[in-house]
Amino acid sequence: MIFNTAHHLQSFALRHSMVVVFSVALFSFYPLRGETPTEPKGGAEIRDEQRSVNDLLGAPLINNPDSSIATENTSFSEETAYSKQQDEKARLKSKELGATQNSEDAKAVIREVLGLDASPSVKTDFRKASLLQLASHAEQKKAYEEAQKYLSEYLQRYSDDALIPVVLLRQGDLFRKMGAYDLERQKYYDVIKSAPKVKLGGRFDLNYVKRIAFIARSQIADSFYEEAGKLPQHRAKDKYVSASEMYGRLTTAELADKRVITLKLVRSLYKQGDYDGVVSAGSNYFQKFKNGPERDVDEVRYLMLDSARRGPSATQDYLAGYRDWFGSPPGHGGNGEALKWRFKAARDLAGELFNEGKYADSLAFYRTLAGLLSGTVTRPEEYLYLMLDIKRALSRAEALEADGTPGPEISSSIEPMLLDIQERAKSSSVQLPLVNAVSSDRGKAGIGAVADWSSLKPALVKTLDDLAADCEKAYTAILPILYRIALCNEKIPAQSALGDYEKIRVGVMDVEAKPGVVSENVVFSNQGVKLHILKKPAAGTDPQGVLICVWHGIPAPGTELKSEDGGETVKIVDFVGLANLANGTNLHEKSLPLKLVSDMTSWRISTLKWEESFKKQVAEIAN
Amino acid sequence: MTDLFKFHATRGFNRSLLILAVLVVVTPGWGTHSTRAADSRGAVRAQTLDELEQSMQNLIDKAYSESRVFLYCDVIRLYVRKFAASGENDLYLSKLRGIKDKLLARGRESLAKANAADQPLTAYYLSQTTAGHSGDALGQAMESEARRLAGGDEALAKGLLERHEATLALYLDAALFLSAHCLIFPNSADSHRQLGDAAKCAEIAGFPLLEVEFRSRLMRREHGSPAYPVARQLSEKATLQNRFFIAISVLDRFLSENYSHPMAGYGYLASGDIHQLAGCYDVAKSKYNQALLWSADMDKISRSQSSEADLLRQNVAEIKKRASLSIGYAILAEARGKHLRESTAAFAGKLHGEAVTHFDRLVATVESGSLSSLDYLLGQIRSSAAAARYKRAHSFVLGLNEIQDAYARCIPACEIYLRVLNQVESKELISSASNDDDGDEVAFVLLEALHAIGKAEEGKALFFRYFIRPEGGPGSIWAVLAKTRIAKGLVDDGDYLTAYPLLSEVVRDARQSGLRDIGFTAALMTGICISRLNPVAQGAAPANDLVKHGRKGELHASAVHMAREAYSSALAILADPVDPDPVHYPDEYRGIFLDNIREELLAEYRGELALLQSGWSPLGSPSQETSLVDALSALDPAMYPFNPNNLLVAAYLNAHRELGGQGVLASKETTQNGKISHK
Repeated sequence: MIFNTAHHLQSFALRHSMVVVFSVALFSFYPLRGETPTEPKGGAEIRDEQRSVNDLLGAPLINNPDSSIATENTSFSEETAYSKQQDEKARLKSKELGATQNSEDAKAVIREVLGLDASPSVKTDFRKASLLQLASHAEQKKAYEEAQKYLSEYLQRYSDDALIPVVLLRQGDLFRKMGAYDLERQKYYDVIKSAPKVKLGGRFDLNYVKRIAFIARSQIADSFYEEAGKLPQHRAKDKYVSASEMYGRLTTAELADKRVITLKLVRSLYKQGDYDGVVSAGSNYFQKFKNGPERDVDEVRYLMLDSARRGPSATQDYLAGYRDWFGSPPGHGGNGEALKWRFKAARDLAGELFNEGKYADSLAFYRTLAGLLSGTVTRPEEYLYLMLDIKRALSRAEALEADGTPGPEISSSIEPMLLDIQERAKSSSVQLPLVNAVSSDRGKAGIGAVADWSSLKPALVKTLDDLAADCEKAYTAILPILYRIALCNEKIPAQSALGDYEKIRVGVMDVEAKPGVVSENVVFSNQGVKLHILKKPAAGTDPQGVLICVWHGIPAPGTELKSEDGGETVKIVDFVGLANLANGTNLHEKSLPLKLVSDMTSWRISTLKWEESFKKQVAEIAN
Repeated sequence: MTDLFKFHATRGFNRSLLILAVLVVVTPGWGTHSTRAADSRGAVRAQTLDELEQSMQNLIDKAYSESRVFLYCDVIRLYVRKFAASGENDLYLSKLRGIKDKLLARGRESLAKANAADQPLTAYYLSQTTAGHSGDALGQAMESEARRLAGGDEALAKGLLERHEATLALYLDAALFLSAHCLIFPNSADSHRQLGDAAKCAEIAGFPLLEVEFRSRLMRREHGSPAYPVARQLSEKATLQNRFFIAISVLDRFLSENYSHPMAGYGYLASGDIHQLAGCYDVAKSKYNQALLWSADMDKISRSQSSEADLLRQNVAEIKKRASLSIGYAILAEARGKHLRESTAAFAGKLHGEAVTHFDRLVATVESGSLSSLDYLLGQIRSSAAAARYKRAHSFVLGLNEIQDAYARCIPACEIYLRVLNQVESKELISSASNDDDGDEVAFVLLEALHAIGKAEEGKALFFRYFIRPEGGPGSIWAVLAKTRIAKGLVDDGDYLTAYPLLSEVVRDARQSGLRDIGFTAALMTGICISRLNPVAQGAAPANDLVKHGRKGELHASAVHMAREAYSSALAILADPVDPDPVHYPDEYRGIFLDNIREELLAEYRGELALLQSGWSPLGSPSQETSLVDALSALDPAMYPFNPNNLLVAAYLNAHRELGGQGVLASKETTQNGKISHK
């Protein structure tokens, strides 16, 4: 700290710095009631017991650690009711110190306690705790330099304390946060040197020493690894080598979580480009840890497969390994962390193969990626069907409600529809918790009981919103992949991309039409809307839940469309599609990439459909 | 000299008429005087003294007839001095005196009228022009002030504005005549007396050069040294008008006699800044060093505890800091200036090293992680980044490792800077615009460094953390550059769909930020992204086929159409007459997408040549539109950030060579008769 001139006092910079100085001064120069400075001036640090004698005496009698004045012979303390009360108060306040949220609060407590007539030993303990607490607060606000000062002060004042290795560890941690990796590791080496010097006893036994030393060693390895991450590759390699050597040694350590350390070893080998080493260490990992948690399995598998194709013994058939991997069930629980590596592998490989012009292979990995993104709902258009079904049920119920039909009758009237909805949701793995909960309540009420309409209606409305949100999320992730799949198909001779494009502009609708008018591949249009039928309803005379592909425009209820060939007319009753989800969202306009994809798809659908019809006509003429 | 009578077009009356009026007034016998004989070119080649006299008389007459009042007066003076015994002298001198009297009388009269006029708006007008407002903004400010003064009464406000215009006209009149008087008769006692008024009138009338000239003359005439505020104001005005010599002289004059003045340190700093602006980096550095020496001297003498001494100590500390920083920035500016010239590029490297060392030394003097270290850290980051960019620009000499090391050096400083800045902002709960901008710059340097050392993923994470803000809206130029950097990475990875929205944002923000060139190339790249995502391939009907089959209406959303639109918007950026002031940005960004543009041109030419070679078929024709070639061909190379013709020719030749290698080299006739012959 440099103070050139007093005018700095007015600047914020100085005020900021003063916080640090003031806090440190608090322990060094604070004129406290009943306290006489008993610190020896300069020279070597004295021990705690020696300091206690000085404190009790109120004078600096012992000034050197090798002083012949015996500390064990003295018993100066005279516990009075007052001193007991003061000590107790100080101890209570010490607990308050631990609960403080920031430096200012902590300093208030510190001032209060140091102003008490507590015994010197209580105050000494409190000072230690205060320094550590102030360091924590400074660290919290990312003032690492300030935190370092408190910890340095601790080291200086209490050099024979049992917590010294911990303080050194904390200093190392702070240095890492400051980006000073060499200093960080130096601190950890200091830990290793200081740990055996800790006086054993009480909480601080041999295990404490061993644990602290192990933490320091593992931190050194982590430090090398993390530093390497910020260096250019030519300089990082040495650090990764150091890290892997340390991890290699740590794998045999008694206190190590061998699974985690082995994973870190594999990572550092991969980063240094030792691909054969990765394959070997990875195989070792799979051999050793066949059972147990699988959270890291996918990562190790990814690193091994990637190393296998990059390494000197790489073969052309590296894709087979990936296919096997994707064919196996995902890691433990199939959570996001486990899938992360599969996503990465599929995305990277698919893109790489596409750029290399290997469209068939790329297509396979894009399909894998689409499958991973879809999750349990493998047919995302089911969201659309369900939304349309719920809208239909609600519409019917609202019509009855408008006629003054009582609630139980409304519920009873739409019950078959609800059962269909639940059945469809179940078969397509879509969760409808609210609707299921209402049904379950009805089930509990006994046979013949109907769901309460007052609770069913909000459940349906909320479910509609939830489905729209889920559908939006799923399609936002899948649409760009579907487009890529279509691009791959366009590049592969004899493959049709139309089916993939159709999925990008999909929708379902209820229509009024004469029997037989709604059939697959028929194109309907008017001035603003054009679509074709992808799949007509499986059964029933009412054309409800017709799967369509919208070329352009947004089909709206009440709109009449004419078929392009026969001049037959259909009237749209309701529509749910990517251009108009149940909550009104138009996914095609949601973002620039989605707009680009949907616009290009629209154009390709129209072109490919024209081409299809052209080829058909040519074939008819030829026959 | 006639330049002095150039009037601003924004004034509410015809100034050329005024100039004419001046000449009518000051020239005796206007319109009745007949010209004397003169040679046809006006040039005189006198062999004898008589001939010289005659030719000078002719020149006087000619200047008179052509209303060249300054020349007229100068030649008369010359004539009188040369031919002191001439009989014409009385006439000429009386004419000169007449001009002088008329200029003075008219100038004084106009000034008196202007001073006497009701001037409620003039002071406000002056404050606005001093603040740099002009054009529509000034007009709007004046209107609102007039309305305020009129208490919302529109008619009264209009009257105020009209009176203000009339007053301005009077000041303009006074400025014109008094200036003319002072310039034509610089040694006249009347001129000396009028210098102050002439400067004031020139200031109000909007003649900054005249104002600077008269104020500097006035200062020269006054005894003793000028007051600091006067010297500073004049030097600032002179600097604004690029009159660096005047600006420096004014400050030197102040400093020469006021070393112990409490503001002398600022004077040295200002003098250093002006020298740096003028490109005299060594002198600038010496001025900053003088400021440091001055600070050291002041430290010694300002020991008292008074409030004035406190203030002085505060100023001295600030000056010391600014001077230290300015030395570093002057070295950096000098280094940048030497990049462009091959012969000095090596010196630039040394200077970069010097700048880095200088800032490193400064950073070592302050406590790490403290607020006071921020400015020094920023200098350290800027100098390190500039050194790294220099190394990259000369990568043909330096190895990749050296370049990466140079970038890696920036990373710790950037991280500390952003951490401390974040601490400050969270403590003060506000973030100032300058902090934001500096923070953005540092984050951008960090991003650049991470990319340079091959940590693109970490760079991407930083980008999303720092530059993608929930509130949206355009960011600083650094945000635009960061988006460009990320978009470049995505394009290179073939992820055109993700790059597309980023590039669109760059197009949107770049123009407002003054990064027109980057906006243009980003707009081209949006078209290239669309083109790359274009699914048309073998087996697909190209756009032209749809036209042929009467399905043109369905083309509206085709990839070709969208790409063409993107290219058109790129051209529109260059054609936009409203061009904000360009800003300085790292050179490598000027041609960041050049490879991708080159690649696309090659693909377009390749498609065209292949089509010519294979012929058209209704189905299965590999179609490649030449939208980018068309766009660049239609461009004026002078407006382009890089030469489009070179790109086009190189791409065509490469495509030709590639196909030629496959035995499908198109004949000269084919290319001349085909579609591509004009490109």
